[in-house]
Amino acid sequence: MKTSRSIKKTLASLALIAFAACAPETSRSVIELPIIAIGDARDTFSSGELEITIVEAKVALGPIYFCASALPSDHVCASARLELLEPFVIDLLAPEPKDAGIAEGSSGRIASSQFNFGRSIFAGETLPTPLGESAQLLGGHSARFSLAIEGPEDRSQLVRVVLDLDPSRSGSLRVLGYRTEVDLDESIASLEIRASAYELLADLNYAGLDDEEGELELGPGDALYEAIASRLASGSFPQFIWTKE
Amino acid sequence: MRSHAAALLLVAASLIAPRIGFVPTVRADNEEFAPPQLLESPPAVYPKGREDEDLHPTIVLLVTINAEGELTDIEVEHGFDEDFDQAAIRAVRRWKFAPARYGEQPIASRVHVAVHFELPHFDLHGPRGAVRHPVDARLADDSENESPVPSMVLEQPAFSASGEAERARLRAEDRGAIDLTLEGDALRRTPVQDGGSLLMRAPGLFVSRAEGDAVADSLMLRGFDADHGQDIELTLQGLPINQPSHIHGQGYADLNFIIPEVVHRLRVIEGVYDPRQGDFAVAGSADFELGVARRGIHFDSRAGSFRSFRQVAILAPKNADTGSFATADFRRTRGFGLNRAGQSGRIMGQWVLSRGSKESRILGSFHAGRTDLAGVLRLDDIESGAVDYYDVYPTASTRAQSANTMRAELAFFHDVRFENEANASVSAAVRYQRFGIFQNYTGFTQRSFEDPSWVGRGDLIDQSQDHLGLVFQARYRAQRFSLGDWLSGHAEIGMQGRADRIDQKQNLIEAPQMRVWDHRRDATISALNIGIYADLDLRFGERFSLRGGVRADLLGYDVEDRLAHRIPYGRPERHLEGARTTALGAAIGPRIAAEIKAHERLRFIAAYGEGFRSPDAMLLGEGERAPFTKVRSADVGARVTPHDAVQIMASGFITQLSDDVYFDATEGRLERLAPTRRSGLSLFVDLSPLEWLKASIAGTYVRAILLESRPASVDDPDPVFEKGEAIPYVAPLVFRAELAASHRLFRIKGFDVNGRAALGYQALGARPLPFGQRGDPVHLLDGTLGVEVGIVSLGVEGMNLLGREWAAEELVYASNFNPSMTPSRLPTRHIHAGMPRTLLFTLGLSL
Repeated sequence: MKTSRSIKKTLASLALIAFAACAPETSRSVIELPIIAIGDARDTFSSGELEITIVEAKVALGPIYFCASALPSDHVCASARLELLEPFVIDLLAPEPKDAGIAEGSSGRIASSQFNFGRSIFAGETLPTPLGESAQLLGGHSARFSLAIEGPEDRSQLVRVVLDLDPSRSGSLRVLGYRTEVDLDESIASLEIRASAYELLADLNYAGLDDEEGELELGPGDALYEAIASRLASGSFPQFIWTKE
Repeated sequence: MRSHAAALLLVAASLIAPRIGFVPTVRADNEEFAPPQLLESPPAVYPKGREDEDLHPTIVLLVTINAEGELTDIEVEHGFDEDFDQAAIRAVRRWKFAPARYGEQPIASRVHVAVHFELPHFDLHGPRGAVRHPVDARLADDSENESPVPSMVLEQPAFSASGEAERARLRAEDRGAIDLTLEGDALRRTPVQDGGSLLMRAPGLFVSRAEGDAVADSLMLRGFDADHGQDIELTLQGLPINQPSHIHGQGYADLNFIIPEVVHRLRVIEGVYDPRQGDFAVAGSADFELGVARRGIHFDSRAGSFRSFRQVAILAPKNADTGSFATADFRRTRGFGLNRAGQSGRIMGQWVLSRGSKESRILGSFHAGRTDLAGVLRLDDIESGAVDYYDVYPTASTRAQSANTMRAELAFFHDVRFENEANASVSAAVRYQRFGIFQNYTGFTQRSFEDPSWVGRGDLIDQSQDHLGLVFQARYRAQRFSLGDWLSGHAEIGMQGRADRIDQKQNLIEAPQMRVWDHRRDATISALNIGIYADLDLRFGERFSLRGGVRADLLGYDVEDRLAHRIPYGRPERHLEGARTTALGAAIGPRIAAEIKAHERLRFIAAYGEGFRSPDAMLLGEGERAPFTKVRSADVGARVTPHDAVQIMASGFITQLSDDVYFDATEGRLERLAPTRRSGLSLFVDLSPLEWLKASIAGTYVRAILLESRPASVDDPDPVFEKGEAIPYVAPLVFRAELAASHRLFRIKGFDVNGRAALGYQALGARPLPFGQRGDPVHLLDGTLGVEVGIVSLGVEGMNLLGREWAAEELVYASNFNPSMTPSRLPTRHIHAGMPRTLLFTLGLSL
């Protein structure tokens, strides 16, 4: 009987020890982060003898993937830390915050982002597909700019630039390895995506655009078109600002 | 007196011929050997209500007598019906034996005894109630040896001895706290579909079949997600089954070639405490021993849900050893849900040749199978209704998933027994194994390394390999030594060799043309493993014993990697690919177990062992000292027998690995993780409350954590697996309970109708998943119901009787199965659907 009691005690103790050790969890937590798009009200600037007013400046962004790796490669961000799949259009002249959607992901280090400008070439396809607000608000294009140019002798010109910024190949993204760094956790309240038409356009070369009166639509091969496209896809556009609570 | 049998005859029989073990046979006239002696044999009681039937059957039982002379196991070898069988068992349980002896040493033994029933008017009782009587021709006529108290006599002038007995004795001297041998009916109480499902009977071992009949089972034990076998050493009669450097997972062990009906015994050691355990005994090891106790010709048919059909035929000649048999098995199913049809066939045959003190066995097995695979489904797609739980994604790439396997093996075993318990054995096998699988885990995310514009052709990974292997084992056990009463024991040395030649490829395939669109692996691996061990088995007096030794292994690799140094998108005409690397490493470690016999019914066991897991050759660099995963394991446990009908095993354990691995679904193979530790508790309770009622409960609770974070890399600078967190996919709790009943129901037209019923409940705790998620717990209920009338048996088997949807495998990673949508790159839950409610009707015929 004595032995039996000691056996029972031993077994009960072992069971308690085992169940007291609560099972650990894996790290990382689910993050849902509001994305807020903010433009810049500044809409006029001078370029040489030209006075330029930005009439319209809209850019489609998305999908956007935020990655742990900073390398600009299709291969290193197979798993994203955070993503916003539905493209949205940011009005670069609107300073009022705009809800651009909710990004989803998990906590952890973010070192870069990859994104498209509202147009994706799906895996296995060769032609781009406009997505989200790009299709609704920009006629399926990536960006649309209208500039009113006042030159000497009261010459005026309305210049339209409609850009299609497509990925270089199927299944890829137009911008890879765009640096933005944050330790994403619950303390991050939102991501502000700031974009300023003024800063994007003010120091470009507009020479010669006032040679003709009326309206002018620029396309691929035109210097201003290529300059804007280059700044959008290869410059510092947009700004990602991680805001804390 | 009327209720007592008028006659009881004990006919001693032979010790069973050795089947597997390392101990050869002994001739009866060997003066060193003395068979067990029957001391008392109270008469059997003639079954109530059967006196008018004029029956006088002889029941032959196979009984195990331990070194203390106690009866530890009784099996009905040749029965008559439930009443007489049970009456014979009840009688033999009351008999008293003196143990068999080899020299002066008492040893365990297994003997046939026969109990003959005569009607009460046959007054054949001897002075002490037991009666000797000549019985059938199969048993010896011992009329010249009349004695009031029957003694053991021999079935043949020379009997074979005790490979079985000696093996049983060694087995009783356990390694580790959970060292369990299951045999006979205990293996097959609840439905058994294949060789792998036999493992479910082991405490804490969870088995699931995520990928059909041509792919190895997924195993989980003691907090190890052993996947297809990487952490559990699986052996067939001592010869290794695990395949090193397998393309589908290190240590891949496909048990589909085993026909479960001819598995006679299963021994499971949890932990690494035996020097005989090799390079995959990380969580433990399991050894299958073949044999057919019920001799004759048997046909077993199953048919039921999902047009499943299975036919087994077994030939077990009645005058041959239990280990001799030939069997064939064919299976076919349409499969539950879509894309799961498959069929397979296998044959196994073994023949035992005994001659004096020598015994040889030849084993041959052949297996081929092919099955369609449904693959994984995203849980969010199931929840949104885009796909059903048992669907397959409707693309050519996912519909083309399948697996095929072929295996052929020829094995030879030879045992020799010398004087004073010394013995030796040699075994060898040559085997060829072909494996191929098409699996799409990620949908349409892969981009070709050959041409970056090739994308979206479907991530159908084609893994294939040809494996030619040779295994060899030899061991010698020296004579028992003794230093008076306080110390005695044995010393053993052994060696194990394994040579492997593996050709493997991994490509991406574009379906339905099944055209290669990217090369991912093309390699030839030559591997050699040499293991040696020394083992001591020491007894200090009556209460303390120490068993253990040391094992050393040397592993060499030569890898020709024809795709090494590949530059993605490089111009092959300007760049030669390929590399050849060699590596060699050694691992050495002690294994030791101490046992204190505190009481006849209570033993404490403590064990410590250092093992290793061999590396995947493809991960080695030139000249690298093969970086074995070091395994350190410790157990403290107790074995309690509070009542003859209750046996309890309990163990607290801890296992630490220097470098663990996890399954990377994007590559379809194992990748390095980090050092890990598991600690927990195992419990096994076996109950026999009534002769006809058996029950068991087994559970393991484990806490499995990462000891370090997974190292950062260029590709993954912020790995999700961090120090202190749970090891992903490892369930903290594995539980199984079984209840089985077998009894005579009634008689009809002179035939007994015997019934049997069993239920098995299995639970798997919620698995921790990456990114702070948890899987769903699993609850499964299996059952069987059947009747046996004469040579015919009928029944029905049910799996997942609760009809629950459950994930046989759950993984978290990014995928995209709809190439026409913006792909999400967030890791999400994917499942391999487990078997839904399945009913199979069975028909058996025994001749």
